Amino acid sequence: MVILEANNLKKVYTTRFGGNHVQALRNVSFSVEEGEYVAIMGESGSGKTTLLNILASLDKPTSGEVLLRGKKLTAISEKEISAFRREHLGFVFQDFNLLDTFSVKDNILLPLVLSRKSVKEMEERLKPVARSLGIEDILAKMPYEISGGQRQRVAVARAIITQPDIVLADEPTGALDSRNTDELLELFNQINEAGQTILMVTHSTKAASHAKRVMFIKDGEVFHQIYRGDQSTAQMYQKISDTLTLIATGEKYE
Amino acid sequence: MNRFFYLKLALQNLKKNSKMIIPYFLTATLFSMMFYVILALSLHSEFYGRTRGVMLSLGVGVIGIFAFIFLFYTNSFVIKQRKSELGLYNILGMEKYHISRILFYETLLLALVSITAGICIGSLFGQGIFLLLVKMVGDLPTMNFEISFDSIKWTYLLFGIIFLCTALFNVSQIHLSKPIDLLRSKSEGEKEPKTKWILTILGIICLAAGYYIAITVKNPVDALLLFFVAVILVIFGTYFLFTAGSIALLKLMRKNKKYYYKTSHFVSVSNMIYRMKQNAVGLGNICILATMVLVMISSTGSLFIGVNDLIKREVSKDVEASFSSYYLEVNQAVDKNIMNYLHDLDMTDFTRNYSFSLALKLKDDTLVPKDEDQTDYSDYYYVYFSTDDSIDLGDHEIAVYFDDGTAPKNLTIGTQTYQIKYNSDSLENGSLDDMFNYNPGYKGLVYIIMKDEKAIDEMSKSIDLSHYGYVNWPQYNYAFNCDLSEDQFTKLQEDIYHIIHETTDQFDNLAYGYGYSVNFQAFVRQELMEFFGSFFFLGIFLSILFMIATTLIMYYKQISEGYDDVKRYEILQKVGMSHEEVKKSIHSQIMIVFFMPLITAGIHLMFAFNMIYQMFMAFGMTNKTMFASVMVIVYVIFSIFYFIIYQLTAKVYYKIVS
Repeated sequence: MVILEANNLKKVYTTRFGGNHVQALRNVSFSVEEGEYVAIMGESGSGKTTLLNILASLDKPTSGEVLLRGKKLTAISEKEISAFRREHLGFVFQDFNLLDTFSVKDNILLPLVLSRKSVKEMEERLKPVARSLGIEDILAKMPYEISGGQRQRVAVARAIITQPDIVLADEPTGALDSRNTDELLELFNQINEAGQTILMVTHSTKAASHAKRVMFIKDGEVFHQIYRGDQSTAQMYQKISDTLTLIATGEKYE
Repeated sequence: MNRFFYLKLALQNLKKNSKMIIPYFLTATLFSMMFYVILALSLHSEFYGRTRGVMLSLGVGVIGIFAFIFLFYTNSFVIKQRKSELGLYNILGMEKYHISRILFYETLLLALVSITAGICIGSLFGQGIFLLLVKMVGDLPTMNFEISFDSIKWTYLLFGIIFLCTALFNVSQIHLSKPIDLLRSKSEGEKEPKTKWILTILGIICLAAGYYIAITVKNPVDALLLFFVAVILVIFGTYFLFTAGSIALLKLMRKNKKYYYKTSHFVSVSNMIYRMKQNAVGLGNICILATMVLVMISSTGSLFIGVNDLIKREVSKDVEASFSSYYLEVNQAVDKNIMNYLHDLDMTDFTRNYSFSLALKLKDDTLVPKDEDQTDYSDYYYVYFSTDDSIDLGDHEIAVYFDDGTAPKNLTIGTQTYQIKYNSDSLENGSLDDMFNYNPGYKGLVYIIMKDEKAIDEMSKSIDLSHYGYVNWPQYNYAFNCDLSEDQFTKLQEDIYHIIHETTDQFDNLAYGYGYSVNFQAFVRQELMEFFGSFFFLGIFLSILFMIATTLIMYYKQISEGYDDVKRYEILQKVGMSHEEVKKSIHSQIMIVFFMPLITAGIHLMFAFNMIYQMFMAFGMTNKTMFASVMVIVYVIFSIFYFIIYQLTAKVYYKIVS
């Protein structure tokens, strides 16, 4: 079943006085199936962050549309958009975006509190999530007291506690060392196996090689896709880097 | 080229940081203006060396000290916010020496422009301020505000020193820190504040003690003595409760899960914990300053308004004269000669009586004198004996008025027992009330009218002298209206003194001496007007000063909080908090932070009422309703002003956050 669909997305940035037009997205179309794990790759300036922002309803496309479970994102009113985002989307950011005024537990519960869930329900949902992410022991701590890897796990917990339709991850390994990167990617695989749809934007080959499908964006267009199939992570890695080389040297992929 | 290069950089920096620099600049300008004007006034020939001049000099001192504190405070805030900018210069290759030079040029520019602007504006508005003061102080000849070179000199000197100090402070800040620290001086991940129960409890105790003293104080002497104790207790209590108490309370709120995990409380409570950690002291400052302003304006204003009451009571007639001695025959001889003299004078509304007053305690229809070493008057009545030709009394008959409503059938005083012919109600009238409002520390007032001088003499002689205390001998009082020039009055005064000396010379037995006075109302009125007028003027002026300080603290609070909160609200919005919810949350937090000091100040004021009122009685000001209404009006006006400041600064905050 298709969970997310992007049709002919176009995004043009205009400078304030209308002098310069920058085309961030030319014509992007793709769809994500339920339970998929998709990585979007591209260099800086390729438009991948713009794409993620549009998918996350943080930004609006100049033309084209995004459908989540068949529902048009652009049709949702400004009033409902926050609630929609809270209930259907989960976010993991490069710099974690944890609130320093909340304890780990409160950070994770934040979206549930915003949705006005009862204290009992929150506690019930928190337990399995914390256990599966291995952060039960640090729930009472403050964000500044824990390591970067732990912080990102807390951010993941916050993203999945609402049981969203899709988790959007923006460079989730960007601020992590290699050991923590491995752990986080392992975690992503784990929650994906449990049925969670994930869409990740990254320029790390290693991170992308863990996904089931990798989409390459260049100059605002989908350039190429690789499906994992039965390949191992190492083979995936090789394929991705070959593609990146091709993109960098400017040859057309055959 | 170097010099101009630095100068140019300094100018650019000032422009770039205008959001922070402009309020600082305006404050400096305003402070130097006020300092200049008040100093110029105090040095003016019509003021120097007089009551009003002394009052103004007091103001000059206060302004000077506050200018120093607040400019320094503001500067330290500005430099904190600018550290990363200066760090960048350092990393781009400038030496600390060069940065210091830029900073010096910046300060120099700021100092020159703001002081000069202050003096210019001061010279422009000086005349207006001057006229206001003249009006409040009362009948002064019209004069002009003169540009005073002395005060220009002193203004430049004082503010030059203040600016120099800030520049040195800034340079020391640069020299003491590493470039990398400068670059990211705002550290991330602040520690959560600890709950300090001991301080919280101490705060409650201090505040309760201060309030208790303020509401239980019973007489002006105690009020004056204990005022500063109460003030200090309340100040400490306020700071403790703002810093420790607020966090303790918020943490209790957080412990209550049902309450805490509600959308509207969740973000606000946890943010407030950090906000209070950073701002509690600032908010405490605002609260104390607001209380000061309110107390100052309402009390000086009440005194100023009440001065007419006071004048009416203290000096109801143009001329008042009195003569007193222990011996009736001396008194009567002097009276006879004075009456002869006054007979030829063109006067109206003449009144004359014979009076005597004493502290007495009522014990089973007997008025008992107080013991010699007794200093607490709270059980005693202030008893005023007087003759009154308009009331018809026989031997051993008296008319009595107790202001607390006591109505004995007959009274024994000393060895004499009196029948009461008239009691309270028939004697209670306006003039009487006015005359005896002045009763610091006594249980109440008793007004007793006796048949004649002889009756008063017999009664006073039957009381042991040692019980008289500081109360006067029996005396003749004269009061009348008479249109006199200053010279004529002086002559009248000399004549009466002459009569008194001549008459008393005829008596050999003057063992206890005698006392006399002749007062001209115009002098007393002028003196009173001047005192209270300049007092009120100073009150207004210093209030404006404190207001500016309050505004400034609030403004900078908003800016710094705004920068801190931007990131936080960005995250909240990404996680799914709607724009509306964010706005609501911000709004409720700012409201709490802002209006807490105002409300606390209001509560302080309520408790201070009794104590200030008691102190007013030392000035002879006893109009309670007037004082209460002045206080309420001042509070309302202040709140409106405060609200405007809040609106303005909140705008700045929202601009930064959204």
